Amino acid sequence: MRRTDFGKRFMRRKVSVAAAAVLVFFILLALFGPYICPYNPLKQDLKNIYGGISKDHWLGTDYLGRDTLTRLVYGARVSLGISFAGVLAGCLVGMLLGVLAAFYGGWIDTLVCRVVDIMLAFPGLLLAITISAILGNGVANTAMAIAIFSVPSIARMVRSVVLVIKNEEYVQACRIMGESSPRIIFTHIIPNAMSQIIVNTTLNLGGAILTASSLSFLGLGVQPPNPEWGTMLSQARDAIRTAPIGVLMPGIFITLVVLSFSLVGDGLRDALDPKLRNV
Amino acid sequence: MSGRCKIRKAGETVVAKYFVKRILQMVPLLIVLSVIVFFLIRLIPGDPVTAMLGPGVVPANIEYERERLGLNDPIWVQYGRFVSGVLKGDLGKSIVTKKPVFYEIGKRLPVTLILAVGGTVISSLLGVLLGVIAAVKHNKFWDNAIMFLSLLTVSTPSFFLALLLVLIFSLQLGWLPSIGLSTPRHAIMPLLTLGSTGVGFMARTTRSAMLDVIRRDYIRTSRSRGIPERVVIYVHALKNALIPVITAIGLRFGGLLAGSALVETVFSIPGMGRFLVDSVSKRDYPCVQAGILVLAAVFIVVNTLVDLLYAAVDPRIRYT
Repeated sequence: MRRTDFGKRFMRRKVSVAAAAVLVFFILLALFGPYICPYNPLKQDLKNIYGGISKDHWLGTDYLGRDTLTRLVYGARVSLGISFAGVLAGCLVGMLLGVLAAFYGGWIDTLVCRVVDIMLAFPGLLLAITISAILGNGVANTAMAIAIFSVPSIARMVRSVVLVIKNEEYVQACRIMGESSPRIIFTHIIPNAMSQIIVNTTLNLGGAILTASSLSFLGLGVQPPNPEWGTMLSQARDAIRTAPIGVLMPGIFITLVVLSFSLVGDGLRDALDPKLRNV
Repeated sequence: MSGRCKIRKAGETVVAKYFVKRILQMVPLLIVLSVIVFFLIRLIPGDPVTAMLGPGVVPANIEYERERLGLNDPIWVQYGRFVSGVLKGDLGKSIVTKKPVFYEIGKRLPVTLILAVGGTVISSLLGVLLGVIAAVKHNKFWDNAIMFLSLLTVSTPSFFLALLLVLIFSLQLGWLPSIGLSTPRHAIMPLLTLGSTGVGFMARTTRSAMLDVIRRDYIRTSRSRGIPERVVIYVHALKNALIPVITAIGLRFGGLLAGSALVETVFSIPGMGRFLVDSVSKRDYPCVQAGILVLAAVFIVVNTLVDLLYAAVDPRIRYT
């Protein structure tokens, strides 16, 4: 498919374009927001706890008098950073395992499939909690937990895609022409599997934000005073009656970002492969 | 014996064999699971005895306790002791409460099962209904509205939704209690939260399966025979779209088993999820080990039951 065709198809789905704009906004916020925030996200102002919405504090202050908007902006950096780093690392490992399993088959395939099966025997958040129990909490460990959490689903998806690609005529032709296996993998297999990998990675990013914020909400992810959206929500819930904005804003931010990743993922899938539109 | 009886009996034998085979396949999976959980817990940083005795204990006491608990034995001896304990219902003692872990889990597992089963039932009923409507109204307003609602429910963190419900129905309107699970009224918000987070997943799966089925020839034939549309959709089409839907129900149940930790935290419900999270926070290793093992084992058992359900829905599966 030509690149312009892909762009036209994607632009035709207005809701995905709007979601992409929302994501770009949040990514820019994460990258540059901290430079324009007038407050320090960790600086306490105990004379101004649970301060309401005002000219100085657009979204009020939290239980330690810290500016909520500033913490949300810094939280975007932490939440998105963990998800991007975790999913990209998980994607690389998962892709490698999936390609090796499908391309070489035999004992490598059996080993990868069994490891993936075992990891998937721990349903949903249980796998994330188990990994977090072993690694411990903190920003880096939460990103690592997200990476390990992402590996089995990506490995399984890549394996199924590569199993189809490796039997295509152009791959067979490369083998007959004597091209080495690594060259076939890197110049033919991976580029042809890339569209599905990109779609899945985009969809996984939303799931990663949900998982990371869930871990932090439970106290197993990013720890206070770091501003992460799940941690912020967890800390604000004790004052939900008096200062509901502390719960509402991080929750709305998480929902908006996860929703946007899903809509962009759906848009990419439709643009890259219109046959999958109803799946 | 008549020919029909013979065929029926042969069919029943095949079904029985299939059921026994699937149940036996569960055993090695559970053994592998026990090995993994046992070794994973030993990867947790920090010494369990130091965590148990607390700070400032002399090394001699730590060594004595390690010896007493058998932590100095070879790892395979420790694993053997662990498995024989599990088989006898002895999951060790909690480092924090000093009570048997079996007792702690026995108190909490039923609560989580109620939440997971209730949440799965709500999300399945609502999700299947919405999925069928979306498929029937394909590419029309209702399809788009339901698909957007599905995405929204999938994208909303369950803890945020739970807190929103508390804010509206407990704090603003004062209609529902927000803590515990002692009466059916207490269960409304937790079940609504768990149910609604799965509605989107179920609706999308049902819609996609139904879209595949309603384009088939036999559905067109049913319509041309003048069978009412309602019967064609809800009897002929839905029955044939059930396999992926049942898979989704099994996966959803698994997701809710651990995912209930979030809802249990918001509503202060003493269930398995919260127990596991608290145990991880307090480094209560025997409880972490048993909690993960029990939740994963329940998931494996439920998946096997789902497989058996396939065989009941689709006879072809029993013979493969």
